[in-house]
Amino acid sequence: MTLPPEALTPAWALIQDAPTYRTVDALVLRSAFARPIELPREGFAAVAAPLSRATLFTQRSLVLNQLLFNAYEQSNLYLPRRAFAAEDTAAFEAYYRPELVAALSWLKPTLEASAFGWLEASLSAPPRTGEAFRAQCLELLDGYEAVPSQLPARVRAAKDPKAAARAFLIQLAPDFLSEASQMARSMPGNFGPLHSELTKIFIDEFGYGVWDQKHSTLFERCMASVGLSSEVNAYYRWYLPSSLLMTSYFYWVTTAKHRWFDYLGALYWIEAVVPHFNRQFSALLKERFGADTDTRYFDEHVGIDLHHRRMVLDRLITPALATYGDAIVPALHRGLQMARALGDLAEHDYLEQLAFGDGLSPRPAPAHPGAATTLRPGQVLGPRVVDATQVLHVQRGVLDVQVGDGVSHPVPQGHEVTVPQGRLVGAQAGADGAVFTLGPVAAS
Amino acid sequence: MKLSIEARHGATTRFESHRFVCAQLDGQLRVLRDRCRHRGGPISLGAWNLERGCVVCPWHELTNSTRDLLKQELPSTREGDRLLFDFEPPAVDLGVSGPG
Repeated sequence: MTLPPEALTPAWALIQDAPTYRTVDALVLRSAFARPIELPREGFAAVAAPLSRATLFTQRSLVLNQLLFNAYEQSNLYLPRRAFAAEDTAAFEAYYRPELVAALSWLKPTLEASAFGWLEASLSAPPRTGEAFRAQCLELLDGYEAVPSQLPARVRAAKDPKAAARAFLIQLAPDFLSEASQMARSMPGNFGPLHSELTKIFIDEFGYGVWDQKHSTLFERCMASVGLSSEVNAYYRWYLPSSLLMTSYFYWVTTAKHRWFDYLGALYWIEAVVPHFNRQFSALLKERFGADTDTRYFDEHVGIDLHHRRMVLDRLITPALATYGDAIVPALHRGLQMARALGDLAEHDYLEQLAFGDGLSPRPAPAHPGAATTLRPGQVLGPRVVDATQVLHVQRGVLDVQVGDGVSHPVPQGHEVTVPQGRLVGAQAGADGAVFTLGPVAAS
Repeated sequence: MKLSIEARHGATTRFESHRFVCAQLDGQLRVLRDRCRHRGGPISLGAWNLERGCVVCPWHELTNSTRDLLKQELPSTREGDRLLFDFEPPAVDLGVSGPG
């Protein structure tokens, strides 16, 4: 059951007019309260039509996922690191404006159904018993740990491994820069001994009240040590749809309280796979950026998540099964499988984007018919996902075509590049401005 | 800083953010920092095995052996039903430099 489209129209209109979501002339954001979205003027129903595997890597999906991410993030408090400048105050108040929060909340159930419904429908049937579920957890983990992740190998093999590693950290940022904010949502209430067991994990995530130990702080320092901004959501415009989807999933299952057992299944998988992956990624960062790279975020999880995965399985899932029986197995299974599937999708999306960047090679070509876009000197083309493979041709000036922060290629006048279907692309005009076309391959 | 704690196994006290526990260990009541060797969890709330002189921390279920616990001991003297001990809090790092 979802709300009727006509009930959502006023909320959609308010969002379309909100300064918070207006596009800005920057690829890296200086304010945590600017959340540009290329909002289409069409009705909400078209934007929020159910996604599918075929439409996940599209511009509509990017918009939908940005909306959903922001709907959750409005419940997170962010403060600037320095005193509020006048423009900060205005942006801060606009971002948390109650009417805007209410409007996005009103749209949220529809966005959630569209974002996650298709994936849930694709999952395998659950095991019949809690015992079988537990066995499946351990079996899946054994399988996962039996082979190294392909991601570090792909980063090493990239044209610019440092840029590739930074690009991966950027895709983790929507989750890790506010780490465990989802878990924090699962804390209010009183749900018996399970509540206290979950709290034990939560206090690790928040660093026992010690700023230097808080996991989000460790991630900030990791980003800074490889030359990235650690400001919250500075790279918001470069978040891929699947990275947002994965982050939002954990907000969803912790916000929608009847999804509690889904959350336990998902939490198990996330905690379980981290030590194996983080060990590899930490080594990669040190290898590429030097021994002084601050990898404590990844190193911390290699250790503590060995505890957390045991705690989730033995102190949360097993007692929950003992109390609530096999009736909760479908939800546990759904959560675990969703976390696995979302992880796979995010990895796929990142690797495709990496391949796009590595393959970006301007070639001379005649101009294409079709409407050209003119950019002023330094003006940006906000990152967008192309729904079908397109050709970006520069008619005048130089256009710095970007596939992520720090991954760019200047395309001079009379040259073009191909942007594969489903890839995120942005651009910035050179000192003399640029005129370009972005159109389908067939038009060339 | 002169502090005192009830001379009874399991008694606790605190000074600012620092926690202490009185524990029966190695044949006598001792004053210990109330923190696990692993992540500083409250061992006063853990599962104690007085025969073996160890405690399992409630946070991550790590066992603190007698040897571990003795490293956390603060020398004390008994006065009536209390143990007196000295404690100098470390310099406080407020972390005011913030995330930047």
